[in-house]
Amino acid sequence: MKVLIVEDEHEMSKSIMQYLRQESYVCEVASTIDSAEEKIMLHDYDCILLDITLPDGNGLTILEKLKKEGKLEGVIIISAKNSIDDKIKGLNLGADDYLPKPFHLAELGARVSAVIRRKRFDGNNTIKVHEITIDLLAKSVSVYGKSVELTRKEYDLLIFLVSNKNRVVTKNAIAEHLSGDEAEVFDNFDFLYSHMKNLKKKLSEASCTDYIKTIYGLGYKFEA
Amino acid sequence: MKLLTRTVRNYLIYSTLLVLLFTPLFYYSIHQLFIHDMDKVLLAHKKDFYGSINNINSLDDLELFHLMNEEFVLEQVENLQIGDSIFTVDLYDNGAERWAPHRVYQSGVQILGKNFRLQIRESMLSNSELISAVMIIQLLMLTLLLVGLSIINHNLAKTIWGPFYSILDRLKKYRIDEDTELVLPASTTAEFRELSAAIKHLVDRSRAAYQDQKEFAENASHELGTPLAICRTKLELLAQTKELTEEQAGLVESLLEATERISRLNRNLVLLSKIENRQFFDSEKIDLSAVVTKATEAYKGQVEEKRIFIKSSVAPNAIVNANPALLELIIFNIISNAIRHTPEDGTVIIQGSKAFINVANTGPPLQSPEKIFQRFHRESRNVLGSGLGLSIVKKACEASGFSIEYRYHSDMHQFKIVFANSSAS
Repeated sequence: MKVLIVEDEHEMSKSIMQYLRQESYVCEVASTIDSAEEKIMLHDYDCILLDITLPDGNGLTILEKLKKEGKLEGVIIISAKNSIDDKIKGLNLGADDYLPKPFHLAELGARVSAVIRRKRFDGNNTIKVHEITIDLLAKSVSVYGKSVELTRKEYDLLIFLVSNKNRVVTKNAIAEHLSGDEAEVFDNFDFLYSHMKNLKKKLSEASCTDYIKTIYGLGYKFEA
Repeated sequence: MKLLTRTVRNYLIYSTLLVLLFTPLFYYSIHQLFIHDMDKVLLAHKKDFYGSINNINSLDDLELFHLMNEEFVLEQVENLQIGDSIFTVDLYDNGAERWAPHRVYQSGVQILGKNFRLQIRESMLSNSELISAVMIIQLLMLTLLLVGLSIINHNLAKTIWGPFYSILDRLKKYRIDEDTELVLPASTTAEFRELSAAIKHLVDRSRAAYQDQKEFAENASHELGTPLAICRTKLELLAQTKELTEEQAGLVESLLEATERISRLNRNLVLLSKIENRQFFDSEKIDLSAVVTKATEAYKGQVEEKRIFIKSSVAPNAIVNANPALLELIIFNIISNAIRHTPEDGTVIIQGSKAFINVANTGPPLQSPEKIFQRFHRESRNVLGSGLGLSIVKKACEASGFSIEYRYHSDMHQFKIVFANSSAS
């Protein structure tokens, strides 16, 4: 799967590339509108990460061009401006998602995999990890074909971990993901621990392998 | 005391003293003048009398004389030891048919070999009436003068000080954080022109300084964003490294923690300057209960963890006219603040209507409640937060035209936000 990163900050694009590569995505980087448009003409991408503030103009022009050519790949706008106007404009132009900077790499990973899943499976999709099957439409989880009752937060937690599988997901990234955009995050992870505990308990009760590993104080990793 | 009253007051005191002091003095001198005049008349009568008695040859003549000149009263006495005197006495006045003060000249005379006491009487009734008339006119005139003077002075002072008051008024209304220049009224008075110029100079300089400082904060936090984001992503990548020891993981965790806090702080600072720059202005009708529900849902995890009891009652018709982003910011921050500072097993009470929202939470009283909306003010270092939440709420309220106040009442911290614009409609 190919991902194009349109981002002028070199260190930033390098980090994103490094993180996504672990999920076996092939990443390419463009740091200007010109080079991005050139790359889009030549290749098909599964997902484009688009920074709005670029040295040679507004990244939204790329979006307009893509729309004109009917080549709307899954575009995720990543913007430092965090302005609602940009968000609305971008989504109206056909972007799939909007992620304000600064973001957690795990959050980006989850969004990228969600966009790619939507593109690939036309919305009708399930995630399968060994014995676990997640039905994204019905928002239900089953282990060995037997359904497991999860709360909304536990479900979100599982999706988030699975979308970043085999990578360490930090506590902060999870807390922010679960709280939503608006919420001022608390520096208190107690609620996270209890959700995690419940999720692990429910999965193991369904005789599921313990894939969720605790990584020291850092966070968690879904190993599969 | 107002300047105007101060100047007018001095005039008033002087005039009143003048009136009070001079009225009796005036009365006394007029009275004395009249008496003096009367005495002259009496002495003239006396002269007439001594001229007349030479023509009296019998007792019958005396009787006749007596009848013709009522003011001369003759009374027969034993011995003639009455000296000349002039005095005032109350006597019955036949003409006016009442008692009235009379001026009397008294002396002893010998007529036809007999001793008489002579009294020449002159009624002072008409004189005292005249005096009171003069006094009334005088008093009236003085009063009118006083009233007129103070009115004229008052008006004059008002016109002279007019520019001063309008300068004061504009200064009071001027807000340095609003992007408008201070316009002061022109005056023909040199002193006020100078005052205007000095104030304008001062205000313009402070405004420039304020703008500089604001821009600096804005730029600084914006510029900080990128390196912070890079720092965080690099740390997250470091966390992915396979051979991370527990010790290293601990270091990465602490670094991530700190980076997280810096970026949160930074985000809030950017938000603050956005609010201060009035970047949120479109307002629409928003259902308050929906926002409150969304906020309480968002913090459900923390609420359950601390076993906090939330009692939320928002009127179903609570429609608030506000900017959606700002209102969410206010509600989310005020509720998260309440939850953050409520001890375990505490209570949070949320009451809302279209006119106001009241968020209360249990907890011990603050040490310095007056600083509660100040940036970076934190009551205790134990509760982690950016220290910006409430100042963001305050700024967002100001930008929305809401008022917010804090009080500690019945063991609860209470924040009341009044939606001024919706209650007015």
